[in-house]
Amino acid sequence: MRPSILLSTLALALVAQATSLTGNRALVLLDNLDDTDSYMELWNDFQSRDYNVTIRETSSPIALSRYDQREFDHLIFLSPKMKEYPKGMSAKAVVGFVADGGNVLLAASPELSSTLRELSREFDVEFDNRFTTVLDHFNYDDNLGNKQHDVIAVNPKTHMAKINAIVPQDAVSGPVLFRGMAHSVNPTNSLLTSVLWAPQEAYSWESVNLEEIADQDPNVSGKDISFVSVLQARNNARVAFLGSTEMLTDKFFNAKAKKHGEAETVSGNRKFIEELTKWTFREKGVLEVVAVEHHKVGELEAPAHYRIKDNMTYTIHLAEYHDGEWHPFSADDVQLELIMLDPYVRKTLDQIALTEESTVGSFSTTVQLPDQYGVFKFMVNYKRPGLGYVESVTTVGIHPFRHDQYPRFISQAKPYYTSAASMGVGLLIFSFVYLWGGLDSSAKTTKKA
Amino acid sequence: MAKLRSLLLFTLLASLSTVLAESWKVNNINIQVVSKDGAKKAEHKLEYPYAIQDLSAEPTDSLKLSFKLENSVRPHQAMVVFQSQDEFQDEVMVAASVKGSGKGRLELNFARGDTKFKYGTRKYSMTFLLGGPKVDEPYKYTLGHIEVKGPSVNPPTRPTRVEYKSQPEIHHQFRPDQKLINQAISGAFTILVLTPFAALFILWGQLGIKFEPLKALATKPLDLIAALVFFGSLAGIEYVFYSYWTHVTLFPVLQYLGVLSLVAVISGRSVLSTAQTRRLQRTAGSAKKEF
Repeated sequence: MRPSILLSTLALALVAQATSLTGNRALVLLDNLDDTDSYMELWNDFQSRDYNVTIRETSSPIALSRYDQREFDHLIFLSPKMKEYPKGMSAKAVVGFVADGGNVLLAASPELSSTLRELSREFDVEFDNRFTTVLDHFNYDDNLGNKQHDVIAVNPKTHMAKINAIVPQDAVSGPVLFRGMAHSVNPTNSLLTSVLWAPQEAYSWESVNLEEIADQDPNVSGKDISFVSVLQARNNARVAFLGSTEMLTDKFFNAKAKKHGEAETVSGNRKFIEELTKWTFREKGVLEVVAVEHHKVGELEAPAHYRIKDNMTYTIHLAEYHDGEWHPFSADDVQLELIMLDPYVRKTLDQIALTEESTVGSFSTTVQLPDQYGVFKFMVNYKRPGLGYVESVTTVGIHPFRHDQYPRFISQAKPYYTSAASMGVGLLIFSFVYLWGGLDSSAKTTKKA
Repeated sequence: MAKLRSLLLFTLLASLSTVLAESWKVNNINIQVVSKDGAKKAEHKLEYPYAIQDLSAEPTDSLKLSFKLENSVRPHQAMVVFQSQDEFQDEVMVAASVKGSGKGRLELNFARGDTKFKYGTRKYSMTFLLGGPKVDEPYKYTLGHIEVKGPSVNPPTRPTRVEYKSQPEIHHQFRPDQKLINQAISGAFTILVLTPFAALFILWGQLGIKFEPLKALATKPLDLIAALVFFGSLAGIEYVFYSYWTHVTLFPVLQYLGVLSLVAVISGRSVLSTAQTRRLQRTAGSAKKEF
């Protein structure tokens, strides 16, 4: 009952906005306004998804926030040559923008400037040196990459992350074409995921002077070269890094991809970029905790505090956002943890079966509280690749037994019970015999020898 | 005519060069494993597509590959990619240098090579890659497998990341219930506690109780009522104690006790006074007898 009320208010709040949960104000930065013409299909795609796109050159001043409020919701860097930030912006401002909940998409090219390289370092993404490109003599595209073997046709079935929340496996039908710079992601960073990477035979080398042999070990090669990688920050803001601005151009969207040695198909760039931008701009893969309930088994309301060894039922309601509206979330691995400094109990929640009227996915379980008293957290810490982070914490107190909640009668204490009872019974018997037993009225009490 | 001939020759040569440049020709592929002090541990001549399987190298060894390229075009990529054959499938790409004559050599010292070789003893597949921008068909030759032993002292650890997935369930181990003694022992002691009653009844039996005052009560109704009320109040007080032990709280118990004790005092006075008169009669009687 309660979750549906909360969800309907949530839905009402979003009715007037665009499909993206962050907002619909997008800012695009270009090196030169003439580049606008090469991305016409991309602008059309954004328009159809109700975005309010502002296109600026990097030379014009722009402010990302005013009076501590974000001016834009999404920031798209299609300006790899940018030497200095536009007036009003800085690396700190961009990082602050992400900390504020804004999403960023950064596309590079072999002419990537050091400013953007430094910005990517803030997010643990390391681009290769300037004027390097990714070369692959085995997987190049025959139509576009014939001359220099620098346009690589990536097979989405083998070299794309199998995370359906970001780009579903069956959405991209053809190879994804890429021409640009390699970057590598920090392998120890859990927030960073590589979405598209290079085949084994690819390597990153200088894009000029291809007559000379590459006689040194390349900086990055094979699957260490990431073409597209994404980061989801702890506040659920999303940042995407692409090594190629050309991946987003009309030329590559409409290109007929012919991987060397294979048949010709349409490139999968358009669908890939569409799904990637949908994820980056928080139009899908967003989770929300709608309601949390907990109570003792047999009761309906949450008590003021619990007692050790109580049986408690915990229910959490989760919703997932995609296709412009909230849907009930389904999963089989949502876990509840009872934590006091360390988890005492961790249990997988069972999903209550969804009906046609369900607006949220409900997950519930019954747990016996541990026999350690203290202040506990009921925590659902649900983090999965591609989905928004869910961290729901409910603090409760667990009290020890009251003096009258201990076991009352112990069968091994019978001697004590019997001795106390025998005192009382003995008093009655003795007083009966004393008063009316005739011991003090018989003449036989005194005996004379 | 001469012009036409030269034109024909030119086009023929041009087409020939494109035909020639379409694929790479590699000969004399020689692979060696050399120890730290230069001694050759293994040497094999390889011919496409034969793949060598039983190569192994110590962490201080070097791998040397030499080959001869028969093409006039120089390649851009002449590299060997090593792929580890475990679940991580790490890749390392090592470049060879090719001279103008076409002679190429690659030298990889595993001690100074990529850190990936040092994570542990692993088997790697070696693939020789040859490619260039002017040639459409690249050259790939899987040379075979090599087992590279990891360093025995301080091997570096592979960087790990926290994987976001469901974690193992934790079930709380409740403290075991307090251990209690055997029921038989408590039963035995209960019987022991009741033995004084047996002694009491035996001794009373020896004294010979006849319950004469009880029979006498039947004739005196006033005394009977007092006796019943007194005994009843005593029994009631015992019952109140029992109910206090089971479920009643203090203040109601005090109320009950207050009422019952009043009754007991009032009725007890008369009962005890009759008992006293009996006792005085007995002592007076015995005093008479004595005298």
